[in-house]
Amino acid sequence: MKSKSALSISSHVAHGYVGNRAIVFPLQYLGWDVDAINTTNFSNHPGYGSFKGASSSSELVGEIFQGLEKILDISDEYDIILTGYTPSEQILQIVYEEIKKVFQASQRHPALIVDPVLGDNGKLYVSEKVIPLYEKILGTGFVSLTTPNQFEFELLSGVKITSKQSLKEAIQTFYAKFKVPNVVISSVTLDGKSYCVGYSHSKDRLFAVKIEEIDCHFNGCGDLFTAIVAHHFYSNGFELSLDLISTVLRRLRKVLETSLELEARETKNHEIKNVKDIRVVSSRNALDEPLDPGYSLEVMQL
Amino acid sequence: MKSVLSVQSHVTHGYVGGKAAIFPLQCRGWEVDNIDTVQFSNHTGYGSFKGRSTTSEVVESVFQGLNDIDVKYDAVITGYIPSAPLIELICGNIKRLKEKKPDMIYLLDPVMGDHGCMYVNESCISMYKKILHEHFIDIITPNQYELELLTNSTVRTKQDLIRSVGYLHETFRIRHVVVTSLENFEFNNKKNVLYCAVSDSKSGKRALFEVPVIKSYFTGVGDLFSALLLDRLYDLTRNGEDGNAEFQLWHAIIQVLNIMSKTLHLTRSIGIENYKQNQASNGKQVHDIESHINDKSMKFFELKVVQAKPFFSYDGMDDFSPIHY
Repeated sequence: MKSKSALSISSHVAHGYVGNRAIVFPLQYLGWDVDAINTTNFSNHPGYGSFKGASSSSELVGEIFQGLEKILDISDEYDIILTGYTPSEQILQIVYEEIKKVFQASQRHPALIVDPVLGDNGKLYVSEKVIPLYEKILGTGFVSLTTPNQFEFELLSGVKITSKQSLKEAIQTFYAKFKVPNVVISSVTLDGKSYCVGYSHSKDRLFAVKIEEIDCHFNGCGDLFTAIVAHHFYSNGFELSLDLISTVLRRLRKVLETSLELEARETKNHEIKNVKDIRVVSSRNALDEPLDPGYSLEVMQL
Repeated sequence: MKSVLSVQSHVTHGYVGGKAAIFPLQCRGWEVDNIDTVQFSNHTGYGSFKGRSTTSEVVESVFQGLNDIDVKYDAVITGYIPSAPLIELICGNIKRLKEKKPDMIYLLDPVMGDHGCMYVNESCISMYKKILHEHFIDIITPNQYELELLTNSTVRTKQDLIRSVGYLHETFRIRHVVVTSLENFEFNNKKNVLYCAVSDSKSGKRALFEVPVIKSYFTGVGDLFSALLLDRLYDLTRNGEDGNAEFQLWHAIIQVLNIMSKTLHLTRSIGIENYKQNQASNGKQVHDIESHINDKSMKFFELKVVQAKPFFSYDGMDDFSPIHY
């Protein structure tokens, strides 16, 4: 009766919900034991305009892995390994080496889920040197699922997405390059609308589900998205489906709605365009409450 | 919405420090900010661990960053802090947070050791005393040994307890003193029980609670206890005088003891089951389980904090009752 267990490598902030702070609690709430390796130790995310603290050193991250290897068998202990924000190529290099070690040593291993955190809306927020490292990691053959946003996906596939046709092309190019069997692009803009795109190589299927957007920016949304996807990917036997994508989007939407409502109530401002901290704790019921079976999201035919 | 700052250790694997405290508080609806005093792979009970203490510079910088964005808290909880300089720095920052918001509740768990054995440097004792002299602590949760260290006394009898707890109330002006586990204590001569002692200087109420010992290999129990206690005492400490103060205090403690008991029983039963499965997969049968619960099987007995989620909403009054002394 061992419970679901995850290793999550991402950032830590004292205040707010990005990185591991947006990943650990939701997964715990869904019944996961989550072992967290923190790649930063910041007071808050940069969206506040100021933040203090420090990145973890790559030595520390390496030491934590060594410490774990002494007391447990990583390949057997975890059902999933999740990698998220790493502030430097040195830390990502350590993660890459550790993963290679674990996956080469054993037949049985966790599902590796890589969120290639590079940037958003045309802007990088990590060092450029991180890009070739992500290409290496994605190309190892060990990655089960990756969850880039559109910017990251375009950067990694080398194809700009402007139409259904170029989306298909980007997916094909990405697969040809990295052979990652499952891809979820958190949001792709086509004809002024946003879609969440899923690709399953084994089923040879490409899905696009329309996102019911809220006109507001939410910091940490991508990390929470990856956590919810990871949970459902596991629960669905490591297979993507249209249903899975819809479920994730509906749950995420509820969390964001609740966050916006609370923010509006507290600040008495009803024109909020940026929620700095999604209310992961206050909206926790949205993670597992039953969804209305009669409701479904619009699907785009591809 | 209630917000709390938790300052304690972080381990990647297992449940001690922040890993034992944060999730239960979040399940109780607290927005929990946290500063990690160490980043270790696991707790020391495994015989090996790697990682580092957070440097004073980083801890100070994180506090500054929080101050820059003007975060305020309804409560603060501190646990394991590895050195005297870090204790001074952290508590100094908490004092400033309290000056900014005087009704903020501060629970200090003076984590120093257990059963006569210290796991921090001795200089931490005098540093904690120095901090306590500044009178901004609302709740303190020492174990028996830590109570002795803070009061320079031996606590074995009811009289010792009254004297040392009184000392914490008077000298340090701490309202709530909760001694989490009196194990070596002359009272009633019962076997296989320990006592939890509660004292509120405001209402003048004090009581002992008898707690049956659950045999297992436990770590992080004190950290979970303090977090649950903060949650349950918070309203009591903040609100003004209430006719039912005594009832409310007992209610709070009894709920914490119930949640602890349920969590520890669950930890033991899941631990035994997983251990037996593990042994069976190696072709070994386990006959006398009690003799197997030791340093070698301890990894199966990490607190089942995540699995205990349903218990955190417990609000009954079962099983425990105050013994007035």
